[in-house]
Amino acid sequence: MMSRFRLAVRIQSFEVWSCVLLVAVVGITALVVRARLDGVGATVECLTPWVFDNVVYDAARCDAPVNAFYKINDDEARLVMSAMMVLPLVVGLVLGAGLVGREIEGGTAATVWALAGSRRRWLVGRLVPILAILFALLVFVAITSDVLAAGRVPWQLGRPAFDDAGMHGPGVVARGLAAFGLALAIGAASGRMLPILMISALLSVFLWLGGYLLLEAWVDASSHEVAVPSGFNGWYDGGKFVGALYYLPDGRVVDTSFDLGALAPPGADADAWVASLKVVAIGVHSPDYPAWLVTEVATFGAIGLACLAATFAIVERRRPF
Amino acid sequence: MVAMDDTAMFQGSSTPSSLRAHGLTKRYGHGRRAALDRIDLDITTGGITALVGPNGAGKSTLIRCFMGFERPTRGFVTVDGIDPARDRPRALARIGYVGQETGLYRQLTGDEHLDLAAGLRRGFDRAGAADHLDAVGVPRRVRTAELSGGQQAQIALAMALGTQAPVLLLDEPVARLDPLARRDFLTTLRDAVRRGGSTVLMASHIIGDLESVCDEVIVLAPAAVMFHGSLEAARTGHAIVPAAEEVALDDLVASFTGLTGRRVSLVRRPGTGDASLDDVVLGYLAAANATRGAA
Repeated sequence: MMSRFRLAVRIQSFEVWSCVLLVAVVGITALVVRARLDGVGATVECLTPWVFDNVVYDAARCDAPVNAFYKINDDEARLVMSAMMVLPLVVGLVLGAGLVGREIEGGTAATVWALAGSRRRWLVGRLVPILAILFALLVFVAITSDVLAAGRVPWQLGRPAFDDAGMHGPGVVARGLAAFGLALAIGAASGRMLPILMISALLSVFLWLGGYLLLEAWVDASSHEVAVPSGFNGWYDGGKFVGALYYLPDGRVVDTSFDLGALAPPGADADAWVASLKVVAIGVHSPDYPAWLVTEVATFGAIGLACLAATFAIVERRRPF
Repeated sequence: MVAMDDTAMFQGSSTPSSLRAHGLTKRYGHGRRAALDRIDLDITTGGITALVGPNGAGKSTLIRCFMGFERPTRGFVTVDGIDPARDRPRALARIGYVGQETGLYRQLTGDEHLDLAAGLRRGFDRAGAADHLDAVGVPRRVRTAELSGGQQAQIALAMALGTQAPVLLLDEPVARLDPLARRDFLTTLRDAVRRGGSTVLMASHIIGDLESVCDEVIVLAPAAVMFHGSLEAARTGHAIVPAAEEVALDDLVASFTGLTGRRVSLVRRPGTGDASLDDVVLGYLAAANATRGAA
């Protein structure tokens, strides 16, 4: 068993070690950036004083660490998060493209398919070790991206934010598996590495865009009223909002397109009057993230599994050259 | 339906042929070019059969049909009575295979290839395959990328022999080897077959190498079998005469320009001929060209 695992890794050693190196570099960089964010000593009270009762921003104590925090956040953390966003796709693509495709192009498929007899058994033997490695890499990416994402919004106290949607937990793994499945199936169908890489890369871009559109559609479908604490300005709870509603004293509910100041009672301070109104946001907020995660994992997982099933069917039928 | 009945009949035979093709036709592409056209073959158990013919004659296609890698357009093939188009795993379990490319992983060593084969094929004789590599002096712990073409071919052959399959299909395994490596490969193959008693079908277009190792020869012209018989029958059953010499039309295979540059005729002279295998092959290929030209 170990021998077959070792051989499967040896056969794809270049891809495996490239991915391990890439994931290690980006993941460790994420952890280092997180440590740097924590290291500047910007407390939640300094970063978001408005969410606390009786906390007043202490400029002398907070200015330096807050400025340092945002500089690291903007200059370094954002860059690393961008890399981590494409990392699951890249890893899935690189490991998936060559698994069957390179065997066909390199002429080894004929040898091993003749030896194995059952192509299904051969594919299972090749898939299991690589899937195990892919899974381990994606879990590492998911953990490190969660660690960095949480460090970028410490006032969220570890709750996932929709700002980094797709970068949290099982969603990362599901996206990587979908990219892997796509590249694997295209590789099995094409049997030529250059077209495989080009088509898989293109489809991975569509996969990424599709994830974005899926999120937009899910937000539209799942939006609800979210209570907003008094003092709407600067409020943040990691949500994704499509609008806000104001409850007027006369019972009407109006959205933000309404000229609220014009409705203020004569002689009243219009700004203070508007600030006193009950306001709710329309959208989803961080407690809704697990529900999005279910949709995300189900969708991308289904794409990955469908591609795996298609690969078995293709391998069973196609010529080994 | 015909194929199924015929297959069943074959499975029931007490002395089944190892390899058989019946009305085998394989067409490719939109123009439906026939790579093989109504081929009938019956290769008896034991010995090495050379499958010779020019490029594009359908040698690889025939072998791939036996492997179940190509589905016949019409007709069928059997491997020990098993139709690979119907039951590929069972047919492949009776076959050891070496392809045109050696089909090896450049990054793996010889030992790792044997481990791979042992993991894929039940009953693979890993120790025997390793002994074979040792006997021919192929280092087993060196990556195949660093080995010569001849050494790589020996690894591919060791993997095929290690399957202990009753049938070996070799698709031009020596085409890219230098003469010494070709000789080593063929000698190893001949010795192994004599020990193991398997049936070997080996495609090649290097005729000169085959005379010393083959028991039977099949001359495959584009899409058609022109001659199938023992090496002895090929040699002693034919003679080369000057093209100007008058021969009975029934005896004439074809007239062609021989290796010496002179026009000669290949004629059938059962038991009294003295043609070389080169002459026989060239004669039958010339006959195939003449037939196609006339058509």
